[in-house]
Amino acid sequence: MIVNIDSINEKVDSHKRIGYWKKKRTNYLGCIFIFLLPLLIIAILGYYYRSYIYATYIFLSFTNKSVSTKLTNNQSYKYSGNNIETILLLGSDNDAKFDPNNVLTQTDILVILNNTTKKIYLVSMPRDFWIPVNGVSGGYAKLDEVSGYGGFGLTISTIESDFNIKIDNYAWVGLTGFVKVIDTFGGINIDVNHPVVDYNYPNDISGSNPYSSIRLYIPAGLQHLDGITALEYVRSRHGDLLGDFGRSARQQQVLLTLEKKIQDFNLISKIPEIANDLNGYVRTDMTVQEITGLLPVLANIKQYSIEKVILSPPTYSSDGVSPNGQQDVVYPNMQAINSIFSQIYGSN
Amino acid sequence: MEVTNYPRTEKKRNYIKVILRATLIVILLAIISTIGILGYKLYKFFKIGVPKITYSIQPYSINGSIYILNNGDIYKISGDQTKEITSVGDIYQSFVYSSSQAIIVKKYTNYSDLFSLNLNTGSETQITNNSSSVFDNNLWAFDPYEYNNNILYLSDAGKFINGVFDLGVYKIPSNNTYKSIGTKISNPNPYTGGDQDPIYYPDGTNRYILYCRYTYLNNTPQPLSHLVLYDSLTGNTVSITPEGSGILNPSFSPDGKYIIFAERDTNSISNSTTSIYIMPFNINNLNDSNYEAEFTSEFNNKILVDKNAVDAMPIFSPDESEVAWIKADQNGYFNIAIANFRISVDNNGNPIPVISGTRFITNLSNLSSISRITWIN
Repeated sequence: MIVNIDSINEKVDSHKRIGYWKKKRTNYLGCIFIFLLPLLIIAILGYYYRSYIYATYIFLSFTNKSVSTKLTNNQSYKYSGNNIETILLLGSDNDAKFDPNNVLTQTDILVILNNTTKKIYLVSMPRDFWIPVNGVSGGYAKLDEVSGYGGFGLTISTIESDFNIKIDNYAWVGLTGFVKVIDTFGGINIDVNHPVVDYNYPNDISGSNPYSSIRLYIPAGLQHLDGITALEYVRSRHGDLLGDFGRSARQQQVLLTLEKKIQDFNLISKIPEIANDLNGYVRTDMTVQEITGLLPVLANIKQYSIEKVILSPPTYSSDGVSPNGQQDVVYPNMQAINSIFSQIYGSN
Repeated sequence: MEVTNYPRTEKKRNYIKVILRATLIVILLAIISTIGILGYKLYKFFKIGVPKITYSIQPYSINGSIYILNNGDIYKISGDQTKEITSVGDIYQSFVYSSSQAIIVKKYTNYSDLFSLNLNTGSETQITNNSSSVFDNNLWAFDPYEYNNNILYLSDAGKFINGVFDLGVYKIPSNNTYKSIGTKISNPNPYTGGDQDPIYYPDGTNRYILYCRYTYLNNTPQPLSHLVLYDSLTGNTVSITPEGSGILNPSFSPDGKYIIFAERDTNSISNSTTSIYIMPFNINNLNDSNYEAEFTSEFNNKILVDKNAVDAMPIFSPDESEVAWIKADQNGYFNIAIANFRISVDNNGNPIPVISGTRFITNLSNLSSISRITWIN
């Protein structure tokens, strides 16, 4: 039998070459795969990290805005605790009527987070509280006017010294920021408890005249509110028998409704948008780390019970006029207020 | 023939390569697993991507037509079809009372007006004229309800009489073209925002008017609602439900023997849900001296239709075999829910309403929950 060695060798060689190239191709593909896979993973992580970095960059523009409260730096407070955090929420009608650096704080809400008892308290303080204020002529002023005399630092130190509370942080939001936050989360569904009628609602966000007003009507019932309507709902007070206290109750209602909505939201994809919306309209002395440190609380908010307190008459205060008879004011009932704070902060 | 003999070192090298590759794969798998676990923890931390629940709308054909307001336009649900009837986008509230006619509200800065709208031609006829160059003379008109050529609505025209800005119930003829203020029906309690949800009792006489009255009670900081019935012949107003019962959006059954309504689940200001109920209603109770007790007893015999939900504007079908209402789905979007309704009897032969089979019937997601829905043949 004659065997053609050369042809066999050729075939073997060609098989070897094919095998060689197959092996080479497999190696190339394997290398590409091994190289691309980590890149893909890094890209996905990078997308979320970029959102965090971008948001952090924007958050830095309005966080860490500490204010001086050196008046009471060394004071020990009756109402404080190791596992209790107290944040003062301030809201202002920062429309064109006011100097943007000296706005009034029409909304003053203490958010007290007790991580031991798993309770969150929202304590609304009336804007017309007539309270002692250091460095003010006459020694007294309305709570909402304090920031006009000395900025948010004076508001914080005044509340700390007058009510013996240690305030850990503050956060302030203006009108437009409130509207933007609500709209960022797609509006809120809320039960308007009774029809809201206002014959003199300030038309100071849009329009050329910040002193003009409009008529307002919001029907009662469960409905969807966008940012502007939600602002009207929490700001209106002229048609309400309870005036400022009715407004405080509605503000707490919207805060809690928004908190429930945030829980169901795709939060991480909205962080850059939220940061952009808040930029310029929110100020706080919390650092970015402190804000993100609150996120676990938000994620587990269902474990917390939420209690609402409004320091309104007749239990916690009484209506009156200022000593010079020129202003309607609210006098705090310190005995009742101390009693409720003792309950909130425990036996401190 | 050449035989390729791999030397031992070559074989060793191949084994090492295989081992190295296997090790690399194991390392990669470990990295991927770690990233996966971290990603899961990140997800739990930030609640990434809560999936939007897509409600599967069950194929369902209704009898008659349901009219609703969505994104400022009137829609009609007929059979299994949903159709846009208007394309203006500026209707604030609507009440469709026939296949060709509706009363609509257009809201402007400082005032609002009623219009009669022809659904076939789109032509509008103005019924009220509430705008004024004097700021305080502007008026509101809301919440229209048409029955037997008369329209009930809410207006703050009472401020010209007693300085009370809260909205009261007024009535005006459906064919009114004088653009005048209607006839006053109710005196709202001051600082409550006013009365709401007026409807006629369906006996063809336009005599009795049912509406929600808001009242401040001693133990609550905000006003609470209950149902009252006004007799236009005597001028008397009687309570149908106890004060503070938290009633909203009542509607009569076509025969007037039942009222379907939404009721707040709590009287707290942070209340966020309502329940839908049906209560029996006997207009002849008005002939008895203890009518209030009888109405209260009927209210206490209410039966549950839908519980602890975001519900509003319930109505009966024309043949009283079904009920419909606006209900928010799990994503918070307002939709139309329908349930079957029939009358059973208890052991004593007393009629008992029975509800079953609740389901959603549209793909619309921005229904107005402050505009009435209507169901006509």
